Order: sequence, then C-alpha cells, then structure tokens
Amino acid sequence: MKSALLHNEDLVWVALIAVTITSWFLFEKMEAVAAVYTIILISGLKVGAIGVGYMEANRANRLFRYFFSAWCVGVTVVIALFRLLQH
Amino acid sequence: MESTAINCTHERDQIAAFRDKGVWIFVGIDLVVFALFFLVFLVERSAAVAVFQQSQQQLNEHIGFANTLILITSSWLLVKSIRSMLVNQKLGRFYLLASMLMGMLFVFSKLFEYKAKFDAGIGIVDNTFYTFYFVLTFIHFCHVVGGLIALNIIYGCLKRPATVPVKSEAESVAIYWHMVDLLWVFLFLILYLLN
Repeated sequence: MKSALLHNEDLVWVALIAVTITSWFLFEKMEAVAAVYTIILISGLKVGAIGVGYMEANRANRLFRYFFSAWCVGVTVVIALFRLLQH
Repeated sequence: MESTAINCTHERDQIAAFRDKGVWIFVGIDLVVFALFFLVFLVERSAAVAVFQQSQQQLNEHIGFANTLILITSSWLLVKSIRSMLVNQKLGRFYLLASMLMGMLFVFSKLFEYKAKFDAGIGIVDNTFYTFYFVLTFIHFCHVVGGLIALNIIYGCLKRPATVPVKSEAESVAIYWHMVDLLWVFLFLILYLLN
C-alpha cells in the first residue's frame, strides 16, 4: 500500500505541495521552537519522498539505496543538531 | 540478420545499464559535495549566528518558497512525461515541455532575485552569509541550467520519428533533475527558513 502510494506521482506531488505549504505556514506564523524542528523534519521527508517517489532511488543498486537513505537522514539530523547547538 | 538485431539490442541494453550506473555515481558524488557545503555553511553559521540571521532576513523568502513549488512541479511533470512517453509520445512531449518551462521559470526567478540583491547593493563579498548564499545558489543554478540543456536534447530526440529509444536516456536525465530538486529543498531550508 505504502509502495503503491509512493509510486503514484500525482499523490506524491500533492503531498509535497501540501507539506511545503505547511512548512511555509509554520515559518510565517509560528514562533515556537518546535516549529523549526518540524520544518527541518518536513524538509527531510520531502527529500526522501522526491528520492523514492520521483527519482526512484529504490530502483538503484543496493549501495546507492543505503547511501541515499543515510544521506537524507544524515543531512536532516546534522541541520537539526546545529540548530539545537546554536540556541 | 536476426542475430545482428539481437546483438544491437544487447549492446544498447549494456550501454543503458552503464549509463544508469554512471548517473547514480554522479548523483552520489554531487550529494556528497553538497552535504559538505551544507556542513561548512552550518559551521560558519554557528560562528556568526547574528550576522547570518540578519542577512537571512534580507532574503526574499516568498521567491524561495515559489521556487520550491516550481521545482517540485517540474519534477512531477517530468515523471509524468517519462511514464507517458512510450504510450503516447505526443503527451510525453507535452509534459516534458511543461517541465522545462517550469525549470525556465526557476531560472528567471533566480535571476530576478540576484538582480534585486545587486540593485540593493548586496554582493558576494558583503559578509560570509552572502558569500555562501551566492556560491551555493549559483552552483545549484548551474545545475538547473545544465539539466535544462539535457532536457532540451531529450525533447529534440522526441520530436524525431520514434526510431531511437530515448526513454532510458530521459530516465537518466530525470534522475539528475530530481537530484537538483531535492538539493533545492535543503538549500531553501538552510538559507531561507533556518532563522
């Protein structure tokens, strides 16, 4: 089911647009610290969705699949950690 | 005769597989390079948070937001183009053209943003944040232009009679184009939203 949803490019597009608008709303309206981390998390999820839903990174060889997953998680975590350390 | 045709198909498959591998390697290297850029940016940011925050507030985040929507839509149209390419070449061409138009919109929007910054007297050497801003976004901008050139070549091939199979070539270019899209998501986050 999950895989079928991710392979429907229209649903992926709608989801990406929806979460982009959500993160924009959080950026514009919310002052809470949690909003910043939600925006970072949303960006990480967006990158993952583009990679799997559009780029079809899951069709690449196993090494790239592991690398891509690590890259998405790694960059997201590093951004969140730096944000945490700065405040 | 038949064996020559089989050999040709086999050779074409081998070339496609080799190109596919090459694209994934290229994408992997590019992702590592950008990850390093992000890391250096974050380290520099932690050394001068006030300067970075002040400079970030001068960016037009509305353009950044619009650019994100534009690239996401362009990627989506490219996926639709590739999926409809074999079934309906005309429709595939239409989606490809639409995807390229969105890419061009991104280019114009970015140029407009650069011009607005230069008009306001803001340059690459003003402070560390702007050095990063101009360098990172310009490298990404070059990626977009390169992608548009490649998409244009695919579009040119699609316009010719369907003798040359271009789907696998288009898929390779699409992998690159989606990478450009996902890099922008993180660039938008660290340059515009992380305030």
